[in-house]
Amino acid sequence: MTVTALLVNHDGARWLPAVLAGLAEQQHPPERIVAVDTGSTDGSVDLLVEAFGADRVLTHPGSFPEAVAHALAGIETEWVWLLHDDSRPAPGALGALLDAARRHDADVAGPKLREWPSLRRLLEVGVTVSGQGLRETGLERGEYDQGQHDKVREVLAVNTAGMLVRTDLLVELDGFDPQLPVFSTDVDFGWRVARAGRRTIVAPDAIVFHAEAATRGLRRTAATGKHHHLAERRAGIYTMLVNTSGRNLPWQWLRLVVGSLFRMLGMLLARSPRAAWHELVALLGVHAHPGRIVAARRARRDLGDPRGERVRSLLAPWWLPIRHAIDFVTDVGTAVVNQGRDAAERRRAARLAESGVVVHETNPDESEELAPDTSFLARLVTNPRALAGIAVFLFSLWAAREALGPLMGGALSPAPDSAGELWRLATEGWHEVGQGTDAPAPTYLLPIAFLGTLLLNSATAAVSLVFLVAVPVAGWGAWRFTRVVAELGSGQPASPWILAWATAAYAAVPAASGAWGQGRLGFIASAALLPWLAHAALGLFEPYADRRWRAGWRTGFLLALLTAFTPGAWPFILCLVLIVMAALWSMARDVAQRRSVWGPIVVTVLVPPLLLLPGAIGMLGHDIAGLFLEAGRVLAKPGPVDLLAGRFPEPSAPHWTGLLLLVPAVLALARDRTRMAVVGCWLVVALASVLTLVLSRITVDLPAGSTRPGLGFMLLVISGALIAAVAIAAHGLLASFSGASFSWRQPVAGVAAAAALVVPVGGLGWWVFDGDNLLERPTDSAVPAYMAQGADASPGHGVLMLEGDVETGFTWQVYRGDGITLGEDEVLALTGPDPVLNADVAELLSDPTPELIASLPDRGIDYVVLAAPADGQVAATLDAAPGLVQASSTDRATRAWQFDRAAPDDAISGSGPAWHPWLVAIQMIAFVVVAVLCGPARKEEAES
Amino acid sequence: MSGVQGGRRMAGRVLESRPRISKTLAVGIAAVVVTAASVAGMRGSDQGAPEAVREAQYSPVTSQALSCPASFGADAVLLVGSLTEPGEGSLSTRPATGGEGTTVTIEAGTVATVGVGDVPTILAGQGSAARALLGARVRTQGPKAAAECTLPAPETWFTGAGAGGLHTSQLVLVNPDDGPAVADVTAWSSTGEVEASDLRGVTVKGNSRVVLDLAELVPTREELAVRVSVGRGRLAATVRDAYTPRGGSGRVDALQASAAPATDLLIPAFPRQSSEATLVLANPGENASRVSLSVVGVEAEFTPEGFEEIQVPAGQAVVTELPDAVTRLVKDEDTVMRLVASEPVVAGVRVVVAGDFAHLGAIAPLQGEAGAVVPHQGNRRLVLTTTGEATVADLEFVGASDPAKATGRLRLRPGSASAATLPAGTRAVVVRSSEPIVGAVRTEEGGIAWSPLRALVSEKIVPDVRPAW
Repeated sequence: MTVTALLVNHDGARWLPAVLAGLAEQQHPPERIVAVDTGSTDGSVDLLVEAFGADRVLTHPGSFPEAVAHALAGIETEWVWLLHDDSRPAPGALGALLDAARRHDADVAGPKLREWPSLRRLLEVGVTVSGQGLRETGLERGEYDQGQHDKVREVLAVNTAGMLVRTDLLVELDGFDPQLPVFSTDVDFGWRVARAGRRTIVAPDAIVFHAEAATRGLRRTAATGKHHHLAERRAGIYTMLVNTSGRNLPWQWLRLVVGSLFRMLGMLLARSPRAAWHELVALLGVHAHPGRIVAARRARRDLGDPRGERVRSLLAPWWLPIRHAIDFVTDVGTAVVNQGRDAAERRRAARLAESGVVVHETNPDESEELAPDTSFLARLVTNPRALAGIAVFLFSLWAAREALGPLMGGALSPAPDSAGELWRLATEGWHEVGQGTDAPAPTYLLPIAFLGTLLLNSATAAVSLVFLVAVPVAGWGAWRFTRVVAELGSGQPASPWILAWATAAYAAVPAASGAWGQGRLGFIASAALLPWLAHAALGLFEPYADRRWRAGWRTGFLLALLTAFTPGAWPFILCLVLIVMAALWSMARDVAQRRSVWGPIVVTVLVPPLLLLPGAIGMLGHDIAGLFLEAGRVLAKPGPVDLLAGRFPEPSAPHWTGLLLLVPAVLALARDRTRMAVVGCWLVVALASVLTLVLSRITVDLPAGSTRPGLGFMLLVISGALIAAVAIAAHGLLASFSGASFSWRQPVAGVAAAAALVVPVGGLGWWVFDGDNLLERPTDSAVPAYMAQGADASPGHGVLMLEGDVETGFTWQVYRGDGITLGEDEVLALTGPDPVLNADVAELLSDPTPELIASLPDRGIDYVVLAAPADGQVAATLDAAPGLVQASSTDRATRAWQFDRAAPDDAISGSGPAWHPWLVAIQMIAFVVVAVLCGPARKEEAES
Repeated sequence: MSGVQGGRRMAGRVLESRPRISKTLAVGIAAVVVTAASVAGMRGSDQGAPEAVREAQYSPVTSQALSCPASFGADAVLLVGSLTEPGEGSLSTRPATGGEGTTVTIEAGTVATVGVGDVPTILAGQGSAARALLGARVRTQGPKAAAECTLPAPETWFTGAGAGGLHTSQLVLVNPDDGPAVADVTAWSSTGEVEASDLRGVTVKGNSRVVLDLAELVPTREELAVRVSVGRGRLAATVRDAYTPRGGSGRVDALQASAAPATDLLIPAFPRQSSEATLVLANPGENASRVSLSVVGVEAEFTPEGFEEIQVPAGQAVVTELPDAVTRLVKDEDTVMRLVASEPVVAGVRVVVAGDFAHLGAIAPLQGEAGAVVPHQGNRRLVLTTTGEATVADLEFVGASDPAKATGRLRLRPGSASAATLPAGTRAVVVRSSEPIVGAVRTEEGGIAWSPLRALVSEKIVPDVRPAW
């Protein structure tokens, strides 16, 4: 058994000395050694000549397959042992290979490849290929060699580094495919070997250390190109297309294309747009040269069945890519969790460092192994703060228990039957409410619909959840945010007592303001989200550029949510950003000019319009003023005192309990140590006040009537900023008095503290013990059940609901589906009233002609209901109207009539604007993209 | 450690405590001032802001149907008319019990007899002829009698109906429309509300009538107050009344509807001489009412001497003869009887004059155009009073033989009654006033008939209508 070792070199000077040493150490040295250089420029040829002599060193510029083909002509031994310039064989490698080949009657034998230079980790013990053309080693990443794979077995292919192959086989199969210069060369060759009925084994006793210079991108040659991933994918796809049987080709092709698209999606989700791009380019690149595939398939035609039983058993199982996908998702999830943990660890470390405790740098691997031997539960029950938090959470849930179940009242319309209906309303361009309209649906429906889908498709549960957890979530966010700003603003570690006060005071805002009880869904959702937004925005000041970008996307995402619920958020943040940027520009121009500084801030401001796109554009087509409306039905706006007290008009907690906050907030300015931060808070308050002044002077004339812009967000910001100012100033206050002589300062501070204490106690106390509110369970509407059933069956069958009397006027609406549900109020408010229908209703109530009554069913009206107490005169008029038949109603005071003729099912169907689906698609994609960009970074690079 | 820090800080503060205000503080104070100024300048809450007034509009009525009662004697005729300007429109009559309609031609602004026989009749006006529609059945000979045609109403009150003995009443409910109508009839006697299941939910099919004989349904010797409340559809309610005066023979007349319960009630055109005068009061409320009586004369309003307040218990009717003290006061002039109650009541008086009787009901004040069709002959006096400011009412005597006397004016003062004699040939009276008035025409001479002025409906109310938001 004679062997020629064939060493292919390309700029391998870095590894070559070790490779040569390895060759020299072989216990079973090869009979002959030939080296082929493919055009090195780094002096490695000299090393080869020195080792083997000039006559043994061939030069053939080209790829690996070409180099092998070139050298093959001069080889006469029975076997050829292929070596790369970055692969060092262990001393017994060749001997073990030959031994195994002989004993297992193999035609190709490959060694166990271990990582170089770590030497311990396994790289390959034979390879196969998945249906996606991906190289499958069957090993875990970084798996250590502990002899667990030391069994000689038949494999599809072995790496060309260290491959021992019969010379006649190489000649018979025409060597390696020149179309595969670097990647998949071995897989393709092994596949062909198997098709030819020959045998490839892996001999784990033979060990070769491999630097995988090309795969890792350490080596860039003309053959690998700049992008090794691209080249690898191209080779993989090519290999699959040329080796698959003709019968399977269409199916395999489809699988490759679909699989590639899925992989691209996954890469985009993993924030690797470049890899996704390469995936696409590789796919297109292979298809750009169909001739090559045809030629290659023709060349392989005479080989055996490519999907024969034996070959198939060597290929990777079909489910392998799915397992990889699951692994990938798990990895991402772990990364997200770890990221949160990392951030917490970082802050803890920073705090410890500040307090002078030496933090030992620990190896992350070790720390993982040495994780405290305590369960989550054990840590929880031994932490008084966590217990207090849980107690407060349970308390607030108890206080909000009314929200367990369907809710309506105040600004809140009842939720529809399912989250699916919310999705429909949120995404469709034409709404079959009222008389059918293409007015845009409010954007806050999307998050509520999303929540509802998670809660088993229940819209009611989504609304209830918001009402249940808004207060504790607001408090939790306030705790997190205040802890950071209090430390930053006061330069002292945050005091748990002051944090607790700030948490309670802020958590009281959605409840005590009356928003909770008035069903102001938008306000309470924003109240819960605002501290989280503020916390995310702090990330804009991180030292790492990547974190700043992430914070920008995250803040923008939260701002979009807030803007959807309370539209005042966006203009406010825009003004704030302009002011901050102007200040930064004037104070540190060079910093402000950096793209990674202003970029994330611009992102913050631009993300909301992008995410709220269909609503925003749809609004242009209707009434731009609708952008100012807060979620839900229009309720009373707060006045000046309301605003400062953080209260909406009744029912809300007593105003004085809120106004007391102003006392400590103004006094907070007196502390010079924390003044900078407190003044910052007051500037936010001043900005919000100025915007309030402007907004309060605007009258929004909507088609359905006039109203004023919602001021909820401004009220929220003012309350929040005042609380933050007090919390910051309170830090270190007690300490500053200890040892100081008694003066007017102590009593003033005492009064301020007492006033501050009343704010959360009064607010939350009112909520829990008085809790006057407008919420109620959705009751059966005045629409009799049989009519509601008919209306629910098809939106074309409406019920004209009339309320009022002759003296004070009537209001009307057309009941459709399951009535006016969440989000439809806003749609109706933006829908221009149908003046013709309005005139017809007026005529119907005063002098209904047969022609009028005949025309109403065509507009999707089956019934007329006069709500209790029905106006006698109008009731008599309708009773007398020809074409109307009295219908039974829920009670004697309610009157109902049915039209002689039923309304057609499609009476109010229509189509939205043509651009709407596109906008929704862009919006959805934007949501995903932004969510991905909010996600954890792959690596953090400190800005230079 | 913090103590040490605090000490250092205190020392620092002592050093820094100069009267100068730092830049940061100045910015902070400015922020507070801007906040205060902005908040002070903002618009107040819009809670409780008054809703925009949404008054109803009026437009000319284009379709109206009057229900005229059946006749009560061979010599009774139906007089109808549309007392408006000429225009496009038509009048038609049809039997209230269903049947084909007949177009009748009556010049606009006049009243004429239509021959429809002795059946309850629907008088329908279309177009301009629907405006100011009015009509009545009147006896042309013998005892005086007048029964007005009425518009369908959601609620109608009758005071002084009989249900047995010498006094029996029939309640006639007419449905002029195609769909069914349902009414609840409630009756009060001196013992309280009269229970009668047959009076609840009385259904009247489209284009038909229902006659409810009170003597059968709620037999009692006492006078009743009756309310007809229409729950479904439209109904015109009238009462045909038969009464035998003391020592006289039985007569038939209409029991005219009286005003809904109120605390200030006016019964105009009280006869000067009457052999019987029976006051019927009913209190449908839940609190007892005290009713005092006065007489509004041409010059002033008098309170009868020695006449005590009448107590009307809650949910009961009270029937009382008017004492001499009252009848004495009305003897010399045309008067309006006024009843002031502490709780809303309904009121009516049955009078007997020359062996003939008539029911006088309280009338709700009305503004604008009012009218009544009156019997052809007899001594006919129009008596008016105003419940508003002093004013001058324009009178029009439709059909007056002497054109010079076809119009007139009557000065009205609050707290006094004004009267005018109808010129010969007058078939209907129209009174136009800018102040709320109450009035009726009393016809005497061998009997008595009483024709209250009712609002002439020329406009329909068009309620303000807008989409709910």
